[in-house]
Amino acid sequence: MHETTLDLRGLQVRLLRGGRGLPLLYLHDTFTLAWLPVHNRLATACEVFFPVHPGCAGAAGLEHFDDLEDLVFYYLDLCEALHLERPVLLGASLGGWLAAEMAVRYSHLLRGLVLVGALGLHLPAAPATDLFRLDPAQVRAALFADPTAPLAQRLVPDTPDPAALPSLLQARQMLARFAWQFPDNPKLARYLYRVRLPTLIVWGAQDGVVPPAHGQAYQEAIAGSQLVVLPQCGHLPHAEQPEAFARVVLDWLARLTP
Amino acid sequence: MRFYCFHLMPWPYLPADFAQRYDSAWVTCPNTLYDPEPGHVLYNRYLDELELADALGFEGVCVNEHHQNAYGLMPSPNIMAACLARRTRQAKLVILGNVLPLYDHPQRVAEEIAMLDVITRGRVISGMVVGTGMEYFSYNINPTYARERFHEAHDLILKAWTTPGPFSWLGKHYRFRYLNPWPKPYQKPHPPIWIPGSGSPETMEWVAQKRYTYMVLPTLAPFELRRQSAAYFRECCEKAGYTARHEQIGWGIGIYVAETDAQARREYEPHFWYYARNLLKTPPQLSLPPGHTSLPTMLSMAERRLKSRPGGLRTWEEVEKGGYVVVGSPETVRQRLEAYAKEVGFGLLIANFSVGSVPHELTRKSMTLFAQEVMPKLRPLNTDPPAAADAGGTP
Repeated sequence: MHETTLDLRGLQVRLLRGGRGLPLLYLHDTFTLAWLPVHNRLATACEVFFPVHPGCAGAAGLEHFDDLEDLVFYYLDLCEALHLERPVLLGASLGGWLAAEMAVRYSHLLRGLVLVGALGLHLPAAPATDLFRLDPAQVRAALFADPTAPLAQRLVPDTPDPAALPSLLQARQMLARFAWQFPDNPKLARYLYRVRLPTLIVWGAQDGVVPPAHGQAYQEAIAGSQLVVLPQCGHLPHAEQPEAFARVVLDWLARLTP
Repeated sequence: MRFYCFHLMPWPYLPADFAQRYDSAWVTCPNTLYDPEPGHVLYNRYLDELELADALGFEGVCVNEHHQNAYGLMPSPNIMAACLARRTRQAKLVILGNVLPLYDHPQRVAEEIAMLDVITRGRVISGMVVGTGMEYFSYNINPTYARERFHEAHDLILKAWTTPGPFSWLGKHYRFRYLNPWPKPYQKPHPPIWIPGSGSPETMEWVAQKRYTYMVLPTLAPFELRRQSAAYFRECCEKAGYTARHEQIGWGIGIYVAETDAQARREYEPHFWYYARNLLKTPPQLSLPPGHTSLPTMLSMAERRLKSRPGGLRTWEEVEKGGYVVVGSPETVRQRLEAYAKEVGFGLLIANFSVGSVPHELTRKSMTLFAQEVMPKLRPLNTDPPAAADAGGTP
C-alpha cells in the first residue's frame, strides 16, 4: 500500500492504494479508518483505491458536504481524476449507503457493487439503531458479534486515548452529518431497481446497527444480486471476520466478467 | 448590581428510585411520569413565584426553554412570558431561549418577541441560545449544524427587527422570499439581547464582538469554572476593543436563604440532591452530540465540564466548597455573593430559587428574605456609569 494526496477541486484527498488489476473503489465506514490486512487480501485481485472521506482521520472539508448527494458528486470527481475505468464499488456502513446512492444513478460508469452492512434503507419492522443515543459499551454491543474482543475495545474505547480522540470525534461528526437520527434515504428503496450491476451484499448475522433484514431488502430490490450472511459477525465484517469476508469478496470478484 | 429572578420550573415528583431506574431525565425519560393534575397546580405556583419576584422588586424575571424533560417544564418560554406579561408591572421579561437552531422559521421568534415587547411596552429581554445537546435529539435537528443555524437565525431575526420589510432572505439554512414581520418590537433598535452560556469560548468571542450581555449559566458548574468563563469573556471584550461593562456580565446562581445557616442547609439540601441526582441526570452522549460544540472546544473542555457537573457530586461539603450554590442566612449569602461579585465583576445577579423540589412556602420565604435583607446591601456593588448602563445589551 502507498499513500498519496491529491487535490480535488481544492480539497486535499488522502488516498491509500495498493494492488493491481481491476480498479476497486473502497468507500470506508466511520469506525475503521485505516488500511487493514483485509485490504491487502483484496489487493491480490484488484487495485484498491481507499480515499479517506472528507472530515475523517484528520482530513478537512466536511463543511462542504450537506448530504450524500454531495459525496456522490465528490466521488464521481475522484473517479474521473484517477481515470478509474468502470470501477467496482465496495462500501461498508455509511460507505455502503453512499455506494448504493451512486449505483442507482451511475450504474453505467461502474463494473460491480459490493454492499457491506449498508445503511440507507428504512425498514419499519427492523429500524437501524440510533448509535448517537448509546454509550460506548452499548455501541460495542451493537457493532460487534463479540463486544468483549480487543478489536471492539480498540475501535470503541470507553476512555479514548487522547491521541486518538480527535479522529474518533471527527468520525462521529461525519456520521452525524449524514446519518443523524435516521440513517437512511426514504426514497432510496424506490430507485434501487436502477442498480443494473453484478451486486454482492455481505452482512454480519449479528449486525446490531443495521439488522440483517436490510441485507435481505437490498437483495430483493437489486435484480440478480447475491446476499451472503456471515456467522459470528457484526456490523463490520471486514474488521471482525476479515478472512471469511475476503474469501467471499474474492470469490465474487473472480466470477465477475472483466 | 441588578437582580433577576430565574426559574427552571422543574418537575418535583419523580419517583424515589428514579436515578436507579432511568439513565436520563431528558429525551427518553417516559412522560408517563408526568401528571397534568399536579402539573396544573405547579405551573400556576411557579408563575406565582415569578410574579412575587416582580412585587419584591427584582428587576426582571427569567424563563427558559427545554424540551422533553423533567428538568424544566417550559418547552415554550414565549408562552410563559405571555402569561407573565399582563400579571407583572415593572419586571423585565427575560426569555432565555429561544433555542434558535430548533426552528425552521426563525421569523416566528422575531414575531413573538416583538408581540411581547409591544404588549409590555418594551419590557422584553431576548435571550438566544444554541440549546443543550439533548434538544437536538428531541427535535431531530442535526447537531453538526447547531452553530451555523444559530448564527444564521440570529442574523435573520435581527434583520427582521431592524430593516424595513418586505425583504428576502437567502441563506444556507433559511430561505424566505417575503420577510415582513408585523408587529415590530417596541424597543429601538430592538430588545436587549442576552446570551447565556456554559463556557464555550466560541460563544463568548461572538457575544463580545456583538457587545451583547453574556450570562454565565447557573446550572452546570462550580464557581471556579464559571469565574474562568467570565474572565475569558472580559478578555474577549478587550480583544474586541473595549472594556466589558459590569452589566454585560450576568451571573446565574442557585440561592437559598433561611433564618440561619443550619436551617437553610436543613431545608434546602434534600431538594438540591433531587436536582443534582435526578433532574441533571443525562448521559454524555445526549448532552454532547457530535458537532454541537466545535472540535477544539470539545477537546479542551468536555472532560473538565463533565467531571464538574453536580451529577458527580457526593457530599454537601463538595457542593459548598465548589460554590455550586449559595445557601445560608441572609448575612452568609450576602458575604458569599459580595465576595463573588468583587472577584468576578458581574453587574447582573440572576438568582435561581427554584432548584430541585424546594416547596412553595420555602421558596417564598427564601425569595422574600433575599429581597428584603440581601438585595439592598448588594445593590451598590458593580454598577456602571449611567450613560453606559442605558446601552444595556444593544449592539
